[in-house]
Amino acid sequence: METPSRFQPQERTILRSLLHSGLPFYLWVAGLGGLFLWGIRAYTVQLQEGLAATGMRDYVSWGLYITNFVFFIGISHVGALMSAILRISGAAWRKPVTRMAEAITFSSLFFGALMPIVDLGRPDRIWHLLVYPRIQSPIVWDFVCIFTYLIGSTIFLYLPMIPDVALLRDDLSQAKGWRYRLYSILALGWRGMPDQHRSLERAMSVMAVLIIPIAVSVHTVVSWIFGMTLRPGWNSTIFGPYFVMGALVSGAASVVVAMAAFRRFYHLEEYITLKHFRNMALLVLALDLIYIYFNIAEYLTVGYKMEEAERGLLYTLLGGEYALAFWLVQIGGLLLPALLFILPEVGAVERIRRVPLLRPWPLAAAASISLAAMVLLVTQGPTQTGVDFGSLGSSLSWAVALLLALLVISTLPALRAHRILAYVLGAGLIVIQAWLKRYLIIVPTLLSPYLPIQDPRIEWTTYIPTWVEWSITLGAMAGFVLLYTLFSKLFPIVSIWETREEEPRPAVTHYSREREAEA
Amino acid sequence: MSRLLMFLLLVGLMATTTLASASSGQDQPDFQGPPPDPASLYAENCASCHGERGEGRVGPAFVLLDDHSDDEIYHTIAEGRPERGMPAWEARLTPEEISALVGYLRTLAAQAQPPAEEEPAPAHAAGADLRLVLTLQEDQVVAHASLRDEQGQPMAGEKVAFALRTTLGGKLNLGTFVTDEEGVATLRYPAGEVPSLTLEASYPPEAGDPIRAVASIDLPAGQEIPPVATGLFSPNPPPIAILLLGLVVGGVWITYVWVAFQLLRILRVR
Amino acid sequence: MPERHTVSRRQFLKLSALAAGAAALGRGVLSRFAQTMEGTASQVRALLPAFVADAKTLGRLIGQDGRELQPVPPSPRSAPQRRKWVMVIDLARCDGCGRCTEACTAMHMVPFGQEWIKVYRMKDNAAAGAYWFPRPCMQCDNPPCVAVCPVDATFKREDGIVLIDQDRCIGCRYCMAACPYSARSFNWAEPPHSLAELARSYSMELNIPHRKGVVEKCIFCPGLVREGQLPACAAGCPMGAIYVGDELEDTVTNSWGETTRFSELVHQGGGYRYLEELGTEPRVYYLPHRDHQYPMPETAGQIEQQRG
Repeated sequence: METPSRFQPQERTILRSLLHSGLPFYLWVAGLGGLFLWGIRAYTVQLQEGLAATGMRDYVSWGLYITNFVFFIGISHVGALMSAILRISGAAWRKPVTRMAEAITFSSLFFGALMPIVDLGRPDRIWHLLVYPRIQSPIVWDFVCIFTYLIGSTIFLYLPMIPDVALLRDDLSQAKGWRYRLYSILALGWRGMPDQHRSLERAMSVMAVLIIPIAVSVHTVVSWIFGMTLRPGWNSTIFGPYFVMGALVSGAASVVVAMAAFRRFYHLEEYITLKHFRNMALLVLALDLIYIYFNIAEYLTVGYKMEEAERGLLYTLLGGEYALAFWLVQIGGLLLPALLFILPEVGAVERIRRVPLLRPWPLAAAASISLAAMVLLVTQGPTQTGVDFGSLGSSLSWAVALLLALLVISTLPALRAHRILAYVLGAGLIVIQAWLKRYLIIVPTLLSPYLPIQDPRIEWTTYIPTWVEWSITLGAMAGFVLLYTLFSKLFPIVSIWETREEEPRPAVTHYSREREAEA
Repeated sequence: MSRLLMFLLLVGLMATTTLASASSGQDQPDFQGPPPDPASLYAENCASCHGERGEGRVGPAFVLLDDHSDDEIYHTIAEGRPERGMPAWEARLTPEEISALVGYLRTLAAQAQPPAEEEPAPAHAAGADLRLVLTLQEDQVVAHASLRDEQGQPMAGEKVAFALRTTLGGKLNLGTFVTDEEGVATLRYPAGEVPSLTLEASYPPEAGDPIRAVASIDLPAGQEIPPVATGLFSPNPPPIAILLLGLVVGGVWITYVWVAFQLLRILRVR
Repeated sequence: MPERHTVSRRQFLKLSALAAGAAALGRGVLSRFAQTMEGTASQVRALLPAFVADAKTLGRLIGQDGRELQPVPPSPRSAPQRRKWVMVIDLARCDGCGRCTEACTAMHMVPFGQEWIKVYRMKDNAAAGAYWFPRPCMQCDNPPCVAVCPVDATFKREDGIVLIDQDRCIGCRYCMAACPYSARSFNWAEPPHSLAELARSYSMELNIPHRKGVVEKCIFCPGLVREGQLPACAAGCPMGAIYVGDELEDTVTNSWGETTRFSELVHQGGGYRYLEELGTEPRVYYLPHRDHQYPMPETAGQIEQQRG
C-alpha cells in the first residue's frame, strides 16, 4: 500500500485553501481576533469589578454566559452525530463534511467549557472542583462529561486526520518548515502500512461507538443542571431528550452554514454538491420536526394544566415580556426553516408532486398562516389572561396571512432556483433560534420564582445584559469561528483520503468491508 | 374603644417603622430620643415599679386596667399620681409615646395572670430551704425538690412549681407538685435526646419573688441526632452509585488509553 | 552558648523583619479599606437600618479599638451541640415592621441590598386577605442547595443548620438557582465594609467579613444559639412572632420570653411549612395569619404591582 504521490485536481483546491490566503482572509482573521481580544478585555473588567459588571443580579443569577454555554455545548453535538452516527450507519455522502462537523465540535466545546468559568464569581477557586468535588452535583457531572467529551472528540477528530497529515507531510513541497515539522509529528510515522491501517480502523470504529453515548450524556447532564432544580419551567422530566434534540438540530444546522461558507470561500464545489446540501437539509429537517414535537410536548402539557407556579412563566413567554423572542423561536426559528427546507423540493420531485397537500399552494398557505399568527401574537401583546388567541380569527389576521402567502409564493421560484441559499437561510435561522431558545429557557425561568419578586430596586428585578456580557459573548463567538478558521488553514477541512474513492482502502475489518460495499 | 387603642398602637408602630426608614436620610428634629416603641419605653420607664410584665411591684399591677378608659389612663401617665408616688411623665414622654404606652398596657393587662390574692406569702416561706436534685433513671430525669423550713424540718403538703429552662433562655412551666411527708416534690421528665437538661423548682409558686433552686444534668449521648431526611442523592449518593459512575467513566477513559495504545502501534510500524 | 545566642539574635532579626513587613502590609491593607470606607461611609450610614446593635450582639465581641474581645467562634462542619434548631413564625403576629431584617442586618453586617430574612407582602388568592410573610432561610432537611453544590461549600449540619463555607464557595450560583425560597444572595461586587466587620477573622458561623463573589444567606445565628441566645431576628421581633428553639427539647422561645412546646404550638396552631409539596422538609414552620390584631398590607393592587 503505497502513499499516492500526486494529488488529484479537486484535491489541489483543498491544498490551495490550506496554503494560499488572500487579503480577505487576513481581514477576516484580524476582525475575529480583534473581537476575541475585545472579549478578553471585557473579561478583565469583569475580573476587576466582579460580576457586578454584568446585568445579573440575585433573581436572574445566570444570564448570557450560561446561555452561551448551553448553546456551544449544543452545537458541539454535531461531531458525534455526523462522524459517529453516519459513520456507523455507513452513509457515504457524509465523507466530505465529516471533518467540518468534527472541527465544529472541537472548537465549540472548547469555548463552551470556558463559559461557566467566565460565569464564576471566584474563578481563582476553580481548582476546588478538583479538590472538593461532590459527586451528587450536576455541575460535577458536567465537568466530568464535558472533559471526557472534549478529550474524546479531540481524539476522534485526530484519528481520521492521520493519513491526511501524512499526505501533506510527504507531498507538500511548498510547505514551510514549521508546517512540515507539525505534520511530521502529527502523522505518527504513518506510511499507510496494513498494520497501521488495521490499528487506525480499530481505534476509529471503537471511538465511533463510544462517542455517541458520551455526547448524549453531555447534553443530558447540561439539561439536568436545570432539570434537577425545583424551579417552575425547569422542573421537567423531558429536559434530557429535549436538550439533546435541540443540540443535534442546532449542530447539524451549523454544519450546513459551515458547508456553504467553505464551498464559497475555499471553492470546494467539487466536494460539496447540492446532493450534500440536500442530504444535510433532510437531516436537519427531520431533527427540526422532532424538536418542534418536543416543544409542543413541553409547553402543551404545562399549559393545559396551568399550575399556579408555572402559569406566570408561561404567560411571560406566550404573551408577555418574552413573547417576541418566544414566537421568533417557535415560528421563525423552527417552523419557517422547516418550510424553507421543504418548499424548494416541492415540484422538483415527482413523487412529492403527487401528494396534494405538498403542492405549493397549501404549503404557502400554511407558511403564511403561521407567519401571520406570529406577527399577530407578537403585535397584539399580552392580555391579562395570557395570549389572546382570539385575534387569530380576526379579519386583520387573514389579511396579513394573504399578504404573506403572496410573499411566500412569489419567493417560491427564487427558492427553487437557489436551493442552497434556501437551505443555508433555514439553517442560519435554526442556529439563531438555538441561542435565543437557550436564553428563553434560562432567563424568564429565573424571573419566575415561587416567592414573588418584591424588590424596590427595579434594576434587580429584570435582566439587561451589560456591554461586558455582550462583549464576552461576541468574543467567544468570534473565538469559536477563529479557532475553526485557523483549523481549516492548518488541516484539510475535507478528508482527502476518505474521499478518494478511486483507491479503496484495504478492507481490514468486516465492518469496513461492508461500508465500502455500500459506498 | 379597642379600635381606638389599636389605632394608637398602630400609630406608634407606624411611626417606629417610618422613622426607622426615614432616619437614614436626615435627622428628624421633631423626635428626640428613641422612636415610640412601647415595649422598650415600658421597659425603660415603667418596669422598675410595675414589673416587667406589669405584674406589679412598688406600683400596682395592671389587672384593674379594664375599669378605666384610655383617656383616664393617658392622664394618669401624663400627670402621675403624686399621692401614690407615681411621677408625671408628660415632661419626659411625647404624647405619641404615651398613647403608644396606653395600648401596650392593655396588651400587658390582657396577658397578665390573675393576680395573686392578697393572702401574703406564708410566714415560714422566708426562711425555707429548697434543694433540687436531678437523677437519671432509665429514660427519665427524676427531679427531687426537697423543702425544709428554717429548723431543717421537712415541709409536707406544700406546692412546688417546676419549670424547664430551655437552651435559648426560655422557661417552660411544668406544673406544680405537692411535697410528701418528707418534704420532697418529685417530677419525672422524659430525658429525650437533648445533651443536657436544666430544671428549676420554685416555692411558693404564687409569690412574685419565690425561692428558686436550679439544677442541671448532663445526659449521656444516647442515640445520635436523627439523620437528616435525604433525597436519593443528597447530601451524599449511595456508594454503589459512585461505584457505577466510576466504572462507566473509568471504562471510557480506559478506552481512550487503548486508543492511545493503537496510536503507539501506528507509530511503531516499521 | 554563643551559638545559641547568635541563633536567637538571628531569630530576633527575622522576627523583627517579619513584624515590620506585617505592619507595612497591614497599613497598606488598612489604608485601602479606609479608602473604601471613605468612599462609602456616608452611603453605608444611609443604608444601615436604624437598629443599633446592642451589647449582646456586636459590642460583646468587638472592643472600642475594633479588636476582638472574644475569640472567633470556630467553623465546625459538625454541630457543636446535640440540638435540632427549629423556627416557628406566627404570621398572625407579624405586622411587617421589618425589625427582624434590621436586627439581622446589624448582627451579621449584611451587605446593602441583601435581606437574609425578607418580609414579603403576600396574598394567596383574590378572596383571601393580604398578610406579611417573613422568609428566613428554611434550613431544609432535604436542601436542594446543598444537593447541587459542586464543591461542598454549602452543607447541612446535624443541628439542622445549612451553612456556607465562603472560603470554599466558587460562586457558581447554582444553589441560588436551586433554592425555591429565593433565600440566597450573592455578593456581585466587593461589599461595603465597616471597620468592625473587617476587624473580625472569618468564621462560617458569622459569615463575616463578607467577600466578593460568594453566596450568602441566613444561617440561624449559630454563634448566638450556641451560647443560649435567640437569633437576631427572633430577639429583634417586637411582636414576639418568631419562635426559635430546639426540636429535641421540644421548646421554642420568642422575644417576649414566651416559651411553649414546639409540638403543641405547631399542632394546635395549624402550623404549616411553606411549599411543603416540594419535599424540601423546611425547619421553619408558619402559623397561619388568622385573627391578626394590626393592619396587614391592605391593597391587592400593591401586591399585583410587586409581582410585576
